[in-house]
Amino acid sequence: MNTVLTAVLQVILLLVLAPLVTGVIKKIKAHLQCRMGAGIFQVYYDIGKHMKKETVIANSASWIYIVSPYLVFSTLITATMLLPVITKAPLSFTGNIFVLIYLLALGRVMMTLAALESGSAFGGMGSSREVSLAALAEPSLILALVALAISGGSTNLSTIMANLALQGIGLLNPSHFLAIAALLIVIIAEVGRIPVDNPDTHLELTMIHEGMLLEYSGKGLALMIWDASIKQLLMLTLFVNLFLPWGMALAGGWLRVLIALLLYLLKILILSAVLALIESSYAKMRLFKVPGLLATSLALAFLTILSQLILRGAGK
Amino acid sequence: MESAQMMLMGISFLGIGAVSGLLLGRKSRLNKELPLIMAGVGNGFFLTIALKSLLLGVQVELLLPTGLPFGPFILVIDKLAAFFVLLTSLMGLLVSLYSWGYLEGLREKHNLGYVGFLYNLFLLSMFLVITIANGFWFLVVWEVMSVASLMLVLVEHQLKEVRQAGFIYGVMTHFGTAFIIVAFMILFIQAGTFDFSSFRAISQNLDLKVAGMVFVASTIGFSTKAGVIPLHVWLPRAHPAAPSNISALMSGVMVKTAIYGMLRFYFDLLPTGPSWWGISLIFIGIVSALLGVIYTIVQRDIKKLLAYSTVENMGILFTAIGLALFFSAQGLDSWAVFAMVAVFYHALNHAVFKGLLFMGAGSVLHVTHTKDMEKLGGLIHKMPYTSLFMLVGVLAVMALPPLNGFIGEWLLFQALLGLSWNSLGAVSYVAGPILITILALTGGLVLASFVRMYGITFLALPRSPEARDAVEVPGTMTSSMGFCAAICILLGIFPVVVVRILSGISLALIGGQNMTSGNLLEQLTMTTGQIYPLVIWASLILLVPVIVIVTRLLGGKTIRRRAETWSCGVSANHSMEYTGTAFAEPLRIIFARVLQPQREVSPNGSRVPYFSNGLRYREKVVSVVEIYLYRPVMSIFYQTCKYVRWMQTGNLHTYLTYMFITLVLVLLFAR
Repeated sequence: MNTVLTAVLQVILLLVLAPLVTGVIKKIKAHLQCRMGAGIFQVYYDIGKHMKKETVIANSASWIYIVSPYLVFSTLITATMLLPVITKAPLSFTGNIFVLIYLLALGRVMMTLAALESGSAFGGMGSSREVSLAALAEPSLILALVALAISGGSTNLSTIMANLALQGIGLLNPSHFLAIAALLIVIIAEVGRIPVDNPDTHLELTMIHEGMLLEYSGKGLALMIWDASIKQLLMLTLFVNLFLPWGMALAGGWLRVLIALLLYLLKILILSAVLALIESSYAKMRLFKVPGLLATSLALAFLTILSQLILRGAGK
Repeated sequence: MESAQMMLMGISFLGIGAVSGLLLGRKSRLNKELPLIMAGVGNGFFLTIALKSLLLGVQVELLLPTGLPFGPFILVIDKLAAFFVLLTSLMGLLVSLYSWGYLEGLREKHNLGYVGFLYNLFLLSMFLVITIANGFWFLVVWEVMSVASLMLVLVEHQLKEVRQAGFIYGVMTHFGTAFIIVAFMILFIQAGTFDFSSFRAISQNLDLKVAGMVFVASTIGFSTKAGVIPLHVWLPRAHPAAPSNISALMSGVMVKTAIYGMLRFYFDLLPTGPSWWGISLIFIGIVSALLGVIYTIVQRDIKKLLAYSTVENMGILFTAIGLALFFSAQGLDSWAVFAMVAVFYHALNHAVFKGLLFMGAGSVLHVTHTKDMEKLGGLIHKMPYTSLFMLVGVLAVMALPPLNGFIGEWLLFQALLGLSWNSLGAVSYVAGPILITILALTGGLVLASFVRMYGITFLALPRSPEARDAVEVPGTMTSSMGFCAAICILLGIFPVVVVRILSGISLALIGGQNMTSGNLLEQLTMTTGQIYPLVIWASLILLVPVIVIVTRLLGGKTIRRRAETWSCGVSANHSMEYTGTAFAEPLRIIFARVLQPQREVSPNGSRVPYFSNGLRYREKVVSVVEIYLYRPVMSIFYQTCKYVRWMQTGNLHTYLTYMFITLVLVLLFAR
């Protein structure tokens, strides 16, 4: 019972914590740019405000526009339930890497379709760019995960993470670092951060994700903002748990879970700082430079597989 | 009723349907209804036989005496044939229902009796192709199938592009048939008869070089029918040119007869081959999958987009078949079964969702008389059912969970990982992830392409008066699409049942020695990863009300208001919408190497470039394969024709002389 309870609690934790992470990244970024910046709870205030507001729907919009924020949210919660955060995931038995990635893709489809609904050019622009870049990001993401799945002997996320954690300090070999580098690039692209997309802008020439939200208001907008935060935290969690799987309480009592929770928060905080640092030190790329960046990630993931092969050969 | 009798009934009904169509012709009443009813009943019989044979494991045989010297006209439904009969009859039944409404739109201009004749003949020939167990008769019914489908493509022959499509289809299909003839002739020389049973008897003693020749010939032949790159040139032309109900059958079912033929050759009539068989198929398949989908991105014509998507899906099927062949050559029979289940699952999925999508495109065409997405838009308000079912089809083709497409894709991914998990050497260790990556890229591009297709066609504001005045299609058409959508969902929720049946077929086909249990797939997935689609479904659906309640608690009652989209003060109209061309622009630029887009922008009617009254913008993409492969071949062909032109004098005496010379030469050399 305890394990089920903690498993469910961690999902709720992730959902609730997600906007905070966005706030923290913004705050660190502000400090790096010598600004005060908004408080770290600002995203909660925004979500709360939008929740209470009236929802305005474009005349041309249909039911897809209305259900889309709810469905996207639902895909994200389902995806979260597949992912071990601090302990075993509630749906770990079906927690396949392909299911996770394709569930996120389902959310993306609903969102991009909804963006086209209002008939304004901004929605179309955001939608078109989103699917174009996602089509290129997906292979890198899958290859990086597959590289870890091959050495883990399974495509189940919990099994992969448990196997990685078992390797102890031996995990920190070149092939692991290559996989992680590939994953970091593609995760930045997936969560729509600089240098791929700028989450803070409403300039039509550059925006991708924001363009899709432009016509949303009220509860729909609140959910979409929350969605973006959850997806971001989901990706970051995936990253830290694959990169540094130690300390996860895949089995064990309350104390271990508590330690795992603290470690997890620490890992996420450090990663947030890294992301803020990257964002402050790079400019946003031109849209057509992004495929090059994603190709780099793909090449790194491919090198992972090659180095695994070499290391495996050396081990025999 | 005995299965053999039922088969005879099925054949007779389709035959009567064909004849009745021919007799009723253009003017008579019931010239649409009677052939369709006959087709429906005939398909019903075949569906029952297929289900019976798959679930109960009965093998059906039917011998029709012909009195001709090429061996008996024998029809056999074993497990492999039963699967393809199931696929054909299921889609045949649904498309017949759909045709009831769709053919009304063709009544004014076309001879419906003639269409009914061809329709029944086409269905009948497909059943015969799948069930026949004699090489000679296979070729005969194969040709009937090709010609019937060719005539169906040419139904709307008043249009120039349709005639052109028909010509190219005619040439290509006969190119393919020639190779299939070669494959059968080689086997005939070895076995002495055309019977499949005798081919099977000698297959274990067949020299691998001879088997390799049969493999190459049959692969080229069936690849042409399957429409994989580079033999695909006919497919994106012919499938859109045919009436939409026929497109659904051609793309959903007819291309699968090629898959059937390949499986029949590789796993039944030929011995287990060397690894290069599988490797070459994987290579062809993966190239087709990627190039096929890249071409879907730039299509404006919905049906052409769907046709290129068929090229892509055939590529995926080829990859999976190649993988099964490769595993089987390596002696990894259980993995071969795994890959083979992926083949069957994907073939079934593709038949259903591509049929659905073509029917949906046909519905749009039926109402708006256009298949150009730049003239459509906003149809979700006018055609709610069509739009809903199309959305299901679109999600299925994108291979998204929890729909059927995902299951097929997942099985293939897991099977591909088998290349790395089994110690098969360095190349295959690396090949698994690379193939998965290419398939993932393909998947991402399918997503982009179909979001574009659906979004531009069905959402936002209508772009033409035809789209604005659209109405929902008749109930026969929507219900047929609804059935397809339901099958897509069911195949997505309950894959375990289906997989168990499919692994039975695969086991029979691969025939591994140390496999006895039917749930070997479960053993394989137990260690390598499992999925429970029902749980994912439940989670996705049940969470929505929870989210609604939570947002209600957080923000109070939802007040919704309709308003016009803000467009900087002017009233929003369709010219401000994003177009399909604009939507595809990023990917067109990214894949410029493949698509080689040519654009031409010129200001309109103004001397000063700064104050132009308008812009003329033209852009087109070219098919690389056609330019670099077909054009040189064609130019060599034309050059050769020039050299032999002097022989054609048009004089009867000259031709008689030629015949005489030929006869003498034949008598001299071919004693």
